[in-house]
Amino acid sequence: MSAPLPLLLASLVLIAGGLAALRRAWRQRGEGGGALVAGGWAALLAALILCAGGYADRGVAFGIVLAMAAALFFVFGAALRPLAPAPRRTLRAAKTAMPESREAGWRSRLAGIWTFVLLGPLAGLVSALLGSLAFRLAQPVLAPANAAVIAFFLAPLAWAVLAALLLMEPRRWRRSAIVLALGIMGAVGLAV
Amino acid sequence: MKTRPIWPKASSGRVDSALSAHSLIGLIVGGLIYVLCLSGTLAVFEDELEWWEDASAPAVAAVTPEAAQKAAQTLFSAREGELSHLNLFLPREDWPRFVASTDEETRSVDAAGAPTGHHHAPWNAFLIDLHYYLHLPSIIGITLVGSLGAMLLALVLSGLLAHPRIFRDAFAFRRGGSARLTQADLHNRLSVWLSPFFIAVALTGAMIGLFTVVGYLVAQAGFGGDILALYAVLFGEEPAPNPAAAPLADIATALRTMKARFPEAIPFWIIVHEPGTLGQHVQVLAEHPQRLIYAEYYNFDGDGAFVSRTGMSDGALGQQIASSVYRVHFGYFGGFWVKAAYGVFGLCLCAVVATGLNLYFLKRERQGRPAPRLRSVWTGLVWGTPALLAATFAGSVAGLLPPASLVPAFWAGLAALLLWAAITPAGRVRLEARAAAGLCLLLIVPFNVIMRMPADAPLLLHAVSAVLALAALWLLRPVASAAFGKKDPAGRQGLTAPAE
Repeated sequence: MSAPLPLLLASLVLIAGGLAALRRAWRQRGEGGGALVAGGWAALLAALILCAGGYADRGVAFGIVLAMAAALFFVFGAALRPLAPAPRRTLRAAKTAMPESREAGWRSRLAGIWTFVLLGPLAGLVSALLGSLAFRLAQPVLAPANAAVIAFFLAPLAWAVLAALLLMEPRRWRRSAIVLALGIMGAVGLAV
Repeated sequence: MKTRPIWPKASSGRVDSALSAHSLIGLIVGGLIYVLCLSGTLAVFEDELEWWEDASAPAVAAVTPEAAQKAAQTLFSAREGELSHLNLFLPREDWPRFVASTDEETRSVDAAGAPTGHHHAPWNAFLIDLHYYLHLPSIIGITLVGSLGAMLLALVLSGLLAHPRIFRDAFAFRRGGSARLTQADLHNRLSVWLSPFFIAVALTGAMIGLFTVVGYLVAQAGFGGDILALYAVLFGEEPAPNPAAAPLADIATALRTMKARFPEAIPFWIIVHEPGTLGQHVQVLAEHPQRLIYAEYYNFDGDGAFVSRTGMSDGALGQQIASSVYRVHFGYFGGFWVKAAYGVFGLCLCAVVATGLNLYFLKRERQGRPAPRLRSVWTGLVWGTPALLAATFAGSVAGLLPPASLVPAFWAGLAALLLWAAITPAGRVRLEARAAAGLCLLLIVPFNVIMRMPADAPLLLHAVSAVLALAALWLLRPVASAAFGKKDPAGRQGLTAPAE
């Protein structure tokens, strides 16, 4: 696809305007930036609609690429100017965010291996089961291809969400229980 | 008027646990994800690299139906056994080549349909095999790669959850301060603004990689365990085979019909299934320029008569989505500039992965728990992977490394480099790995241009040479700085080299 110049220029203007508005609003840190934030997002959305109007689904993807490329210019532009040092909060968060081993010896190692197995193969299998269950539930009302694609989308997405949320759960037994419960739900749903 | 925050207000507990989850996933799978990201970034340019590797092959702008038939017939006549498929890869806007293949061989073909020589791009095949399978057996490899895609998605999600001021800091970039702040800003800003790209490549990569495993379960759930029935729902059915002998299918008539009936479609791949049998049929895969779908499949019988379209462009939405995954993953939907943008975004993703682990080591140092060996090993992986890719590339193009040796050379080389890194200061590891990568590229570019590239080589090949030469110079920059006694800006800011 080679986009026609007027469409490209109009999209670029909207994207640049939208990003500039967002940048200004966020640098004001909450002081009267509501209109700018809304306007910035609206301009980005308008750019995507313009691209979609010209080139259907390929146009939307093209517009998103254009927006990300423009955002990089803004970010690297900001990189040339030194800013104020980071607020204390970031330092505190970073300080507490280290995955530390609280238990010594073999118990810690076993716990680590179990966490890996839980988040890797087990959560992956459970997510695949959930995807298949979604297919089973969607099959009566959707075309088979549509139901299948829901499963193919859902399985990796569920795995990613599950992995992130499970690691945010500090209690190990609760992590295991969640995976077990979801696994049983998926297996029973498919067996019925 | 006060702005209402778009992002939900984060509790410090949630931020801490999200950061902890983010760090843990990164620590477990960061290395393999980095190798995949780097190989994927290069794989975006597989067409260009493949041609540069096989630089003596002729440029072909267009192929007539008669030339396509002639090329297919030549390969078919040269067969030694029964063939399951015969493929013709027609020239495209960004790939002016004509390649024909069977189960037995792959040949470059000229515009008249005459094979000119064996298609020889082993490093490109090695690269694709690395990105798709990590050089493991196909099902295991692609499933592992798909799993890593899901973990990359988990990293993006936990990273977004861990960022309490995602919008307010969206444009902040502190450079020139401490190494940790610079790295954190680079990591966070790139992650926020490129999150659509990261999510798209991670999700589509996971979908492609986990297709077999999820497909198996879906087939159990809805197709009586018949996975071919599931494939048929998404990608169309294959006609029943008939092994009785017949002349090769009429490809020329199929292509003429395509031009007359579907002028908006751009054919780029012709597949003859079971060629030379009564059951043979022809599939013409054609690009629809305004759509993200990989291709619409136009089906013809052995006489070249049009039979059907599979419906990737106008069938069920699920078919259209399934067919769009590939172009979204590799950036094949907007010509050269989108590929270039994907290249830059891919390098940014590599930088995000690299800085993520760098931040971990910097935090450990700040907390008085440094891990210098681990940090050196990580530096070895970050710079050793491109060094080994460059070395295998140069060795293959120069004819020093036969195709079968590329995989062992890469992995054995990387293992040796990581072992060496464990006993070497990280700064030296970085410098020497960069130097090795830069030198390999710097040597192979003039070699290929002088020894193998035709005098009238098209602009694209020269552009690839120029990009490779520039990459070599960038890689060698810290070496030159060290030689001339200047401080390397990246190293000074701790972007890559830790304190030793």
